[in-house]
Amino acid sequence: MQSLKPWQVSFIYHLVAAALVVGVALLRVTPIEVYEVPIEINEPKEIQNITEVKELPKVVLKTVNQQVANAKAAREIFGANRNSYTDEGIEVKKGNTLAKEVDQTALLDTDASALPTPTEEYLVSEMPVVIAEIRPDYPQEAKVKRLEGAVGLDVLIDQMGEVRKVSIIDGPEVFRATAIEAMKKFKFKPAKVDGKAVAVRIRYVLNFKLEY
Amino acid sequence: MAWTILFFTFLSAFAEDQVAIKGKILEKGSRKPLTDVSLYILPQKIKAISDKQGRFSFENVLAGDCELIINLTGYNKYENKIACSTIENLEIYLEKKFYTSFETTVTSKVIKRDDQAQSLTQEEFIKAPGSFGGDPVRASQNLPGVAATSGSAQVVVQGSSPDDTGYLINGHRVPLVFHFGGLSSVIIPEAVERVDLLPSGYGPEYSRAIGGIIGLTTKSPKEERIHGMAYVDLLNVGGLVEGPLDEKSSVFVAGRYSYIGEVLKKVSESNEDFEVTSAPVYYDLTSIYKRKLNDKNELKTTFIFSKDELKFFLNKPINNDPALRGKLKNETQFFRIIPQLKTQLSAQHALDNSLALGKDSIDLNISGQFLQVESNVISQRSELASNWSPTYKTYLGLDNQWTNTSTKINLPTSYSVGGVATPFSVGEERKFETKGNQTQLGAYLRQEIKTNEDSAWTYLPNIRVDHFTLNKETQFQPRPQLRYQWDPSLLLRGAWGKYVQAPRPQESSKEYGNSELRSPYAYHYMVGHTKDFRQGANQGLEFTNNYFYKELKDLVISDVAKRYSNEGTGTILGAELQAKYRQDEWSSQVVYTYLKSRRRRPGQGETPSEFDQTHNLNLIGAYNIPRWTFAGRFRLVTGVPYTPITGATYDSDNDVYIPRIGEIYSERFDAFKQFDIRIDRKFIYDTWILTAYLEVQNVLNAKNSQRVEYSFDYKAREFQRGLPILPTFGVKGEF
Repeated sequence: MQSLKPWQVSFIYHLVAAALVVGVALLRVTPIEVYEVPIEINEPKEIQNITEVKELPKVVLKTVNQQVANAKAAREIFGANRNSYTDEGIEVKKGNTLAKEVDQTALLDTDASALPTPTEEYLVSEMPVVIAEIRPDYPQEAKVKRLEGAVGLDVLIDQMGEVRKVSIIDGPEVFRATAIEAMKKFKFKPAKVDGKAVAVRIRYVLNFKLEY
Repeated sequence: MAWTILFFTFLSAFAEDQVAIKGKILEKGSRKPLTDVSLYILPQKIKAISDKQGRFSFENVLAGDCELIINLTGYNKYENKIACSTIENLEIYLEKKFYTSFETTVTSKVIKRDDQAQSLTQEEFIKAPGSFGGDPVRASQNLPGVAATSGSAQVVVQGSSPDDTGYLINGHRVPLVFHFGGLSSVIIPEAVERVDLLPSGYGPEYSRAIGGIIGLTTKSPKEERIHGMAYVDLLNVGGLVEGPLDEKSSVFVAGRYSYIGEVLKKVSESNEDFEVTSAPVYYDLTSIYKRKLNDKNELKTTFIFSKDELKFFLNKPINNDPALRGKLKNETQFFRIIPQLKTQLSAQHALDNSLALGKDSIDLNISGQFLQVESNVISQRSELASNWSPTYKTYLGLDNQWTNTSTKINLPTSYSVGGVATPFSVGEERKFETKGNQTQLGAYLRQEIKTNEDSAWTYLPNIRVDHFTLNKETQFQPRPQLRYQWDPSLLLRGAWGKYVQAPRPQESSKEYGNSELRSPYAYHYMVGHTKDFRQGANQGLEFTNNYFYKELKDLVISDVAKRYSNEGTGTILGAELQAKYRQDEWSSQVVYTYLKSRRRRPGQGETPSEFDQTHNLNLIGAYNIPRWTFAGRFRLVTGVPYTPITGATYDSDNDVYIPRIGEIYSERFDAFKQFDIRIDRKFIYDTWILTAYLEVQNVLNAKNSQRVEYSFDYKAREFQRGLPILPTFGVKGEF
């Protein structure tokens, strides 16, 4: 290095630095872009009417960063709400401004907004019926410590009778995870209002009992 | 200005129409707060959700007629028209549905320390038919291998003598578990968490009982709120209160009083042979105090007091024993204070220390002849439980008892063979007063060893050492056990062990017995299995099967020369099975025991034992529908043997006939049959529950012979019946 002149050293350093920058730039993994889509949930106005309940708004679920197959090219817009999603793509009223790319993000099953809106209990004429009851293994820690208890669960069951959301109302900590996991695997005949299947919230109790 | 006034008038009028409704939502009967419940007010469609304490609040409700609706799963739908106005404390009670479709029960067998133990929890024995209102010890007679003795409810475990059964409360010995007649145990059922029967092959923790152990464990008082219960029936009255004292402590207090004596007194008025001079009574008190001292220490103190008092006057002497006439008095009482301290030393080690301080007292007086025994008792238990690794656990313990006894006796000696005693009238009169101390020391080590964590085998090379100062004996008792967990539903087990008990004080007394007596002992051998077909559910079939063999040595028997000797031996062979089936509202049980209990005495060869009941069948069933429970139990048991009296010799000195006995235990009473039923009806009110119950014992009024009564010269005899049909009606209220 001592034989090189200062300008040559400086040139080499700059060349290496530039090569590194270019290399990093080329090798860079494209990050997944996640956008939040403002979704406006339209609460069914008629739901409060005891005699008539209209079908809940349909939510189309799509996977993040995945184009809808055979989707027709639609106008690029922003500010779409959930009503903009159709089977064919996205449609909005005329007048929206072309300002950004189409959002590639859609609702996930786990999004709170994607869950069905439960019908208020007092409207339900026919409560769900358990079709598949899951009995988990007794938690080993509880067995060793001889613990018993009951876990109260708040369960959201959709129109298909699937358990969509489980949360704890009360119960000993040691049984909670087991109870939630088991409850998620339950299957129900859905609740009905005037013969029409609806989503509903129920309270379910899982008792854990040791026998001598 | 006028417009302004009008505007404000309008506003205030509007404001008056807006009301708030606040209140609490609770479970009907139990008053348990209901959390996270949605409440609706119609037609305004306003919703409120209850909090952890069951409190809810509606704001801005329009005053006027409205409807409150609650549709909580598992509870009856609540719909109530109310006049909506400002309400501060609205209490709403929801009734729990009997059949709730939104409930799943996951069960598992508890990992028992001692696989031989058979247990009944309070939930099980309270509802057990034939248990006189949930008596835990009487309910334990539904377990395999257990039988009742004639005319009482003492417990016979697998063909052993009732004297060979140890009775424990929280691990400490008590002199008796039944009030007289065996109608009721000495502790109120609601104070008992669990009753454990430890039959053949039981572990090293307990000893001094060659037959088996009946252990009661008192419960911890409820902590969430104050509870109370009171009941009254034809025989007893009782009640309890329990609840928290503060954040760390809770208390339970209960008492019972029996007026069965008043009933007997009325009966005696129409009987010329005897009269009850003072109504026999029994009562008991129980209190439990529990305090969490800190994260590692917990204190529980149990106090038990029990008293039985019986006095009557025999107008005519007993047929074949003129000495038995006049005033008779029998008074028995005891108390125990049992403090227990549980300490969690570390994640692996726990230490349990407990003491029992108490006094036992017996006062028996027959026309001036008496037996008075008073004992001060201190017993101590300590146990260090160590979980060294997932494959190695130990329980190292001490079990000591010190008794200071003062005895006053003025009774003739009596000599008994084959259950036939010589009359008191011919006995040699003995009068003495003694005082003495007796110490029983015990130490044990239970070990649970697995070769690896997933191994199905568990080896338990347990050992126990006992020392009795009474006869200065030290006894090593190996009690190995073996467990094989085939799969989660099938457990195979086996055990072998030596069991020793000191002779009873009256047997080894210098004045009244034989001070040279050795301690009787037994070897137990057992194998068994339990299969649970329910796969974690609480419905379905469970099956238990055991085979056992006991060899009894150095049994104490009456001896003409030495009063008592160790010449008795015996064997007991048996098989037991229990099948439990539960489906929806039905539950049923079949319990069967086959038994061959034999004793040998010098010169008499082998004879059946007094407690030899070859077949013992129990059929138990219960049917539960909302607010009603119907339960029944049918027992069919081979009659117990008795020794026939073939004649008598007249003793002119004492003016009494001395019986001549035939072959020992060569005859049997007819098979014992009994059918009991119990019907419970619940009435659930907002803040309390009323239960009315009817129990009928011996519904078929079977004439079960339990004793032979002879004429003065033994030429005539008649069989004394056991319990006739006995209906009991009662009511119980609880909150």
